[in-house]
Amino acid sequence: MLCINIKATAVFLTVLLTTALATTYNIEKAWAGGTIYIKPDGSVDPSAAPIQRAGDIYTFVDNIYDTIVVQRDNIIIDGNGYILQGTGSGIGIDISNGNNVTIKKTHIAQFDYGIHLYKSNSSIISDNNLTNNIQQGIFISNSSSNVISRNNVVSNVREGIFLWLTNTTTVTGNNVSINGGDGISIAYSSFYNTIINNTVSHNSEAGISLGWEISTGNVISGNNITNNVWAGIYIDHSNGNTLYHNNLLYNTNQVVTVGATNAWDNGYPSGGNYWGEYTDIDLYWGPSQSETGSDGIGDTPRTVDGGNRDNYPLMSPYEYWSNPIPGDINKDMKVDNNDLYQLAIAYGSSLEKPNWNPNSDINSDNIVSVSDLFRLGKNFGKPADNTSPNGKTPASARWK
Amino acid sequence: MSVGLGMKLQFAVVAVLLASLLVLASVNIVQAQWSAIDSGFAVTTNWHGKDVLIGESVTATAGWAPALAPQNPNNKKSSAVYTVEFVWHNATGHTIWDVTVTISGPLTTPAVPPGPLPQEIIDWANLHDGMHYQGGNLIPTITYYYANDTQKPNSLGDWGVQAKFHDSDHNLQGANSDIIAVKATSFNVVPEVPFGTIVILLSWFGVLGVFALRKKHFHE
Repeated sequence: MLCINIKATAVFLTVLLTTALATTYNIEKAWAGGTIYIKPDGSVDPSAAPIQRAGDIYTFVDNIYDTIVVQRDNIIIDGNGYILQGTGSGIGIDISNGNNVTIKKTHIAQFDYGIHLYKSNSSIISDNNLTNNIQQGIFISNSSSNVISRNNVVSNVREGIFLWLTNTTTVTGNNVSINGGDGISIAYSSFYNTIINNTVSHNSEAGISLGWEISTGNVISGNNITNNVWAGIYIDHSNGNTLYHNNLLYNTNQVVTVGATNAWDNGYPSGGNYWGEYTDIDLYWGPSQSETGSDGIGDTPRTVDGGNRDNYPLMSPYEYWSNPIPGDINKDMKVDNNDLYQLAIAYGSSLEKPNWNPNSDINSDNIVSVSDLFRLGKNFGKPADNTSPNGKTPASARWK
Repeated sequence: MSVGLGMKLQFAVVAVLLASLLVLASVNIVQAQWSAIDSGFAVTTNWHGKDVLIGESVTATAGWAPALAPQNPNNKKSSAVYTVEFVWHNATGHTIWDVTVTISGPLTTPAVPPGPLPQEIIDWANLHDGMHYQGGNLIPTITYYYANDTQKPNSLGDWGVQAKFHDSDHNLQGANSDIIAVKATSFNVVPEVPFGTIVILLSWFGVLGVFALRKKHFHE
């Protein structure tokens, strides 16, 4: 009996000691010892910070609970999957007057600003998680020619990504969701930025906002903009921007504009945007939608507001529309009698013939023939199995 | 005689100073353009289109006209606005103040007392609603609500003020923004009026001086 008690006590003490040692070790390893500087000479200050330098690459070797200030150009900061976390204030990674800095694979949370670039150019922010920051996940001001790609920007209290007086910056492939303000905000006098192929959903204000006053020349394309609480896209006093190939679904207001005139399509046949509630028919093709035959573009423009309209609204989400099931001539996500009818109208035609419809020329040999009929028949009756604009694999890739 | 002349001179100087103060006061009364189109949600500042002296008080006024909001086909939501959130960004885009104000009203144009709103806002509102008869005259009328917030921008550059209109559940109903330019020197404060004011004051003092000299010369 006594022996058992001694053993139990020994095991308990061993576990306690091990836990205490492990805890102590972790406390020593993770950094919370003040702001870390990557200095102009390349050194890390303080040198005890858990950042390993190899040439111009700075790699985290543990979690960090403080700010990093970058003062050196032409470097890569690799978070290596570790956490950079604050206490609800300050900046996660702060770059002022910097150039060509890459920040990647870092989980940055609970600062005022997750990543803050000011007067900094040609930098890359990619593959990071930015969550629960008090102001913005990514804040870029007075900067140009930066790339923000493949980041997960979620649950920040204000905007997910915020550009202010920032030009020629590309924002692509990001998931920007559940932020308390706008998902992506291109604010005040920001020119020629490109916002493409992002997923922007469930943000409390607008999915993508564009303003104020004179932000112009920006391109917003290929984004899935869904379920945003106030508006899919909000444009405030900004003209001369181009918005096309976006999928807008389930937003309380698809678009809200204030004093703004912009292009809502990319001409014909490139097309405009997919509007979830758009239910018009598609019986004609051509720039004026006056030629007999379907093309996957609605025959009637979609009014955005008084001064704006999408002349070529898509009949299906862009991802599918640009790569439909072979035989889905009207791109309504199924191959059925309507497509057969469209092919019948154009059957036997070639270029310059009055009944020619390029969309019925499924094999692109400039003649609508039995070969096209065969291809249509092969997929006849098949609906697209992926109707979600968030899907990654084009439906046609599975049907060919 | 010289005592009478002295009193007249003092009176004239006081009058000129009072007139000058009136002119300067009227400079500050000059109001902004109403930065709104047809959305029903509008905002302006009392320095819209003019340079602001650093540290000067700037008042942003937001207006909500329920009758206009549904005219925008994209504004499907029509809940009543309950608060206006004023977000002040400095020239680098950072949020410096974020103030939520409960909306006041309703007021109806043109039966608006002198007071919280500038005439431009009333004119804007009048442009956007129907007409009704009052005292035998056909006059425009609109019901609107308003809120304002005053801050003192403390750094140079172009500031942005955004008004966000929320319902009682804090759901956003509309938004609008305005830009003001904060400058460092008084020469940039009010670009047109000071020159006129200075010229007028110099003219007045000049005339007064000539008058006094002529009087003095006459009595000698």
